[in-house]
Amino acid sequence: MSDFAGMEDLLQDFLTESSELLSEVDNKLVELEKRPDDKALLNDIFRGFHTIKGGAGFLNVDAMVSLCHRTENLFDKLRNGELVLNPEIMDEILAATGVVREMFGSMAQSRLPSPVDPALLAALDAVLEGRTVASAVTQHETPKPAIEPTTAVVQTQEASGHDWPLLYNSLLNEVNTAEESTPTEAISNYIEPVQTPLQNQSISDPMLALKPAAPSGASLPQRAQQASSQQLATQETTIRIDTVRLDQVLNLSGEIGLTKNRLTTLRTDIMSGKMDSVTLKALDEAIGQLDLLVGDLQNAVMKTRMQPIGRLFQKYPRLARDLARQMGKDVELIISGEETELDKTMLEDLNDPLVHLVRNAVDHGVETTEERIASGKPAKAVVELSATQVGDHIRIEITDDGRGMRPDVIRRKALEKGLIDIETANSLDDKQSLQLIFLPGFSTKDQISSVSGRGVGMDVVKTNIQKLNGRVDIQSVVGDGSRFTISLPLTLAILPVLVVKVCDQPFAVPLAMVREIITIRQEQVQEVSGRATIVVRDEILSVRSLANLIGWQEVQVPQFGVLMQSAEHSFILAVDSFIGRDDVVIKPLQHIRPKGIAGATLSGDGSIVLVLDMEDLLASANADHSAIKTSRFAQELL
Amino acid sequence: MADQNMRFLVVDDFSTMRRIVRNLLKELGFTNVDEAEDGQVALHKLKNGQFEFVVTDWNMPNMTGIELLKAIRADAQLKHLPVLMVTAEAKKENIIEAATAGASGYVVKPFTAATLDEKLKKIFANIGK
Repeated sequence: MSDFAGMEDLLQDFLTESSELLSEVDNKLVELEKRPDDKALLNDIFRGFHTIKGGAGFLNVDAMVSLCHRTENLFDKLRNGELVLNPEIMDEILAATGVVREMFGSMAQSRLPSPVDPALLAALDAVLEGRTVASAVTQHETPKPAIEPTTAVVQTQEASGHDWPLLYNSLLNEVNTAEESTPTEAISNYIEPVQTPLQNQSISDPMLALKPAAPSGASLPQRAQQASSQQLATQETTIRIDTVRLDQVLNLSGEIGLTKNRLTTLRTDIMSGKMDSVTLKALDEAIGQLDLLVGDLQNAVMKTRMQPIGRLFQKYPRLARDLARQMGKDVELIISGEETELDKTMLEDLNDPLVHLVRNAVDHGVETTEERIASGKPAKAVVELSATQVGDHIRIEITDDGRGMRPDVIRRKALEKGLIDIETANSLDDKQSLQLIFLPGFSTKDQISSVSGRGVGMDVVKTNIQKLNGRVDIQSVVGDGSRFTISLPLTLAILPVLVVKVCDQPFAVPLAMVREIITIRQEQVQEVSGRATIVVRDEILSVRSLANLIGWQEVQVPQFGVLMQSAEHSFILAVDSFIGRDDVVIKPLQHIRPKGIAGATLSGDGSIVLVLDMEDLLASANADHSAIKTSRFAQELL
Repeated sequence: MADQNMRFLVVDDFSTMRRIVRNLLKELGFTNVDEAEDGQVALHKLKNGQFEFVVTDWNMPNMTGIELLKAIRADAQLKHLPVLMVTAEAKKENIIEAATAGASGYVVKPFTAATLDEKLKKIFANIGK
């Protein structure tokens, strides 16, 4: 049963809008640490909490109201100069935004959030009164009878509600009749009893006596950590679309409707035997037009799914800040290219890998402040996160100016962990060695303890990116830093493919991987260490028969080879024949997931074409054919 | 009784809140409602449209509710407009400020349709005098 029955629409709007607002607040808080006196920032943050509180009030989320009320008051005092920001206050505020984010999470599941940890409320109240967090606890050992903070808000509302007309009239009268009497006094008489009971009573919450607040230094990084790991867990189910884009879809579907009408008329004509050249020409034209319109519509619909990557990026400065603070490092995360657009689904799936890479950069990439100073670098480390569109691809780069990665150390580690054998280790060049960090099980000990609370290792980063038809490359210079480059296709909705045939069955392979098509003449095929290879322009490429890869018997000797290139290696896929290129929409297979098959699509004549997932296919084929643990990786590096 | 076709302008930077107020007004039978996301936009709309009632939030970027209120009262064309201020709490100095600036009423979030109705009726009654 939903705790928000009858308010679902409102709730959804509130969550979408407030989550964005909270992310902005989070980023402004990170900014604020650099410029604690910036009035505009303080004002913006104040307004952010104020707005969230207002919305939460209408949804009857009392816990959020009472929490935001405190942070709002806090920022009111900060902007008025009554309080001065210090790291302790900052920690409390950041913990509070984390809790608000958690509340959004439970609200997204239609549950009313649980009450706020009294320790946090007490700490905020203490800060509000200009005391230290620790003293908040000692002062409340003999609690007075408590009033719930939320009832206080209601009281305030009612009191002022009834007072207003009287108040207003009295004020008007005062002003009109007796100029010299002070209206302020008349008003204060009405207002006094309702004046912010929150500040006075909430610290007497009896819960405080039962659960003393931990000293802020010890508890806060942990709270912040929990908050940041949870804040990204909820997936959005709604999307905001620029109305211009929506109008375009509407326009095109209207035009398609018109073309359909034209075709219906033509069908009637043709069915009744009217087959003259004018009719047929009209048919040809109408179909041609439909073709164009459907293409445009597909593009327009795809565009409605495109979202600026800034939506993801904006969550990371806080993440980097919390982690850096926790580790005693000074790190600034610089973000650029937020406006770059990406398919919504990809955006969501990209979050985990990016979080991991950002954490990795702060945790492993960047040195401690002492180390940096010792090696003559600026004390503050810089991690850059950028996105750009390059042709039909999106490129995302995470660059740090840290210690860089040493290929020899990585090789040794992989060897020690038994992930590769000594021969493989010796045969890897430096670039290939860096790729070893993506092997499952490579993650180092400290990674598990402090950083990857989510249990995501580098191998998952790579797998996730590959699922999106993307790839990750690493560049690293020892002493200067590392750069992870992620390349992704613009969308997953429409995939350009090459349709090939094996055993009379069509298969589609992603066109992005196809370099060229060659004819295979048997005399060219040479055996090199037990593998069929062909030399193409001085490059020795292994030949993999598609029939064998999917575990079928070849019915004929393959005639054609498709030269395929994946992230790190090239090979020739041997097929019987090919049909041509096509833009397909992949439909995932339900309930079954054959190895190496990404999904199915329909061909022009209505038959089903399986779309191959080459990486998966090669990996499973290699795993089947070879018992040696290293072979998969060795293959990938061929 | 007030004209149900009365034209309202709801001013708030938070679209969820505009929607809430709009829904509440609808519950009370007022369906002729337009929205503005801050004081500046509101003032522009007010000058160019025939609005009969303004419901405005206090805290907004660019131009706050109180600045909007002052601008309305200072404009010969608009100064007669009833303005209902919406805020999150009743702070003494806020109420004084709103009153001196000439607010027609003051309502504290969160409020129900009944509360809003009561406020509106009082304002209408005052206008009718």
